[in-house]
Amino acid sequence: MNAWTLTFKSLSNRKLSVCLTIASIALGIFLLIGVERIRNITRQGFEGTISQTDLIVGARGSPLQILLYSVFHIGNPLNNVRYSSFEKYNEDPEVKWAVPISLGDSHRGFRVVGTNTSFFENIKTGSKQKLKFQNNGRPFASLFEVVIGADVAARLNYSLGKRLLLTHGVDVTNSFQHENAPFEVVGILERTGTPFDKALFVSLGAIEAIHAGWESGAPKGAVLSADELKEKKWQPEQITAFFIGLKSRLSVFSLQNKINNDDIEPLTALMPGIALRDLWTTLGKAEIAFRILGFLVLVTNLLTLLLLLLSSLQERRREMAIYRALGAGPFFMGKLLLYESLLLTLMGVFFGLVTLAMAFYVFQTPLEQSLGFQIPILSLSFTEGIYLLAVLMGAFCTALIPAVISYKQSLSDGLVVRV
Amino acid sequence: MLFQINSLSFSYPGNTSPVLAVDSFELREAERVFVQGRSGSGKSTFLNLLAGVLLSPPNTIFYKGQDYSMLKPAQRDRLRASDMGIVFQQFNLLPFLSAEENVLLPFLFIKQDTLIASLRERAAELFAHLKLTKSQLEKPVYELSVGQQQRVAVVRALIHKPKLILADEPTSSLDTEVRDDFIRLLLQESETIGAAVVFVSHDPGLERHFTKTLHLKQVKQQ
Repeated sequence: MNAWTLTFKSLSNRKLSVCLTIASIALGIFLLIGVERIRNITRQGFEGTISQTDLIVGARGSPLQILLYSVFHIGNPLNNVRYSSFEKYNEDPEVKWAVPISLGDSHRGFRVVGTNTSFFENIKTGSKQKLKFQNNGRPFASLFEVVIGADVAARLNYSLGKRLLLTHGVDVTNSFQHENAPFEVVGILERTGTPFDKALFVSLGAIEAIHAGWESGAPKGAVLSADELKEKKWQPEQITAFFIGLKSRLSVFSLQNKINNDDIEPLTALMPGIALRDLWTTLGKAEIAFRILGFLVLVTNLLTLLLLLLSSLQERRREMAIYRALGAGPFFMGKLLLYESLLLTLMGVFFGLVTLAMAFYVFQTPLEQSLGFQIPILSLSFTEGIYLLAVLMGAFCTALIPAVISYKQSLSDGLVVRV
Repeated sequence: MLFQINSLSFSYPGNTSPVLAVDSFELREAERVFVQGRSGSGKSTFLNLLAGVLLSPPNTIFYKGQDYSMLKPAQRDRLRASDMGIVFQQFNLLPFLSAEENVLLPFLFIKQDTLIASLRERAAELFAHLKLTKSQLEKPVYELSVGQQQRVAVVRALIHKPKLILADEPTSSLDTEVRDDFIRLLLQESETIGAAVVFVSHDPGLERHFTKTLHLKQVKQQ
């Protein structure tokens, strides 16, 4: 027998209070690590919305706003960008690729993105993944073909070959549908966990075509039929924004500067990585609250632990006298108390992590679907490791209080306890 | 000579009036001493001093010729673990261990491995002598009677063949008939291993079992 088995046997003699303490620590760990992990996952998902894109260019305005409407499809641009500007920078020697987007239409609440096929080649999401097509999907090739995001397909139960109409504007209550131009679904994108899941993609030409004969957001005069539209060659005049990938990342500042000082049109170029991080910092204020909450829960747990240890002290004075009689030093009981608290905390940590892993396992599929990437169930991040270490340190420090008390008691009690 | 005490006067730190005074006392090997005194006469202080839990003033208590006060606390703890067996009035045993586990507890504090190996066998032998059955030993201690518990405590005190048994009124919670049996048993087993016995009690009726008596008197309060 050693001090650890002694501790274990002593604890198993107080099953109820010990189990409650372990449960409370486990709950605290569950909350602390759970919040931390969800925070991390959300952040990763958020910052990985778009990657490998060096610049996003929109009409002069706040970078945040451009990021919001071009990437997150939130809000609307105040001004458009001339297609000629896009063409100019597309041919810039520093630019490897450029992808135009044109927003403004929707389909049953989902935004429509007008772009070209280079979108599917060059736009990459968090894990540096190209957009992939489900099954036999493909990019749009002709005017009235549409590619839809995974959420659109799932929510509206669309499959390849489905025909659909686009609505003018992004307001669901808008009744102006482009009725003359039904689109056929030719591709469904795989889930990415980004706003692309909730978007439909058509060619820029299609956006031009369906608005032919429209003025001020309403059809005016004779609207052409689909066949008539198809015969024409549609050349966009304006787009909403465009994404740029550079040959060398070193030229990002010079090109940004060049675009921001364009002499033909007022433009703003932003670096999405930085803008995303800024946005997260703004949005992420809540995470501090969560963190504080987690730590408060943890402090409560340590107090529970302290309570358990302190409440046992009085009845354990005789136990101490026995150890003393057998030759233990005055700090032996304190040592047992430290072991006890570490054992309880370790078990709490263990059960907390197991419960957390189980919870993540149960909710893995829905979580992964909404986030679009895999959630690690069993791995611990560095921060989480630091937290656990802090918890163990906290437990150790907590146990020092009863340990010191028992040391003092032991010195004054000696072998004869008067209780 | 195990213990030699010269003009010992002990007072707790921060308190000037002594709680215990012993002019002279000697404890030889295998000697049986009865320490008698009323409550308040410093019995437990005396016990704590002999056990080395309390620090004695310099040049008052000598263990095997060595000034007790010169030993470090940890040395005194080790000495207590190896040389002494202690039996309390009651609550000798840890409630969350079986009787047998309680008996084996001293090995937690005895550092000599050879001793542990040779003495493990003694447990069974002692149990037999003290009429404790195997099934009783595996029980949790609270299922044993007080008398049985005290006998388990004696087994534990003797298991490592100590030089000296310190007993603090171990019979006070026992019935009269059990009491004499218990003392005889304790003395007999101590004699077998050649251990001295210091038996503290307020009950003068037990004096007849012992060869020598030390009367602790209440120290006059100034």
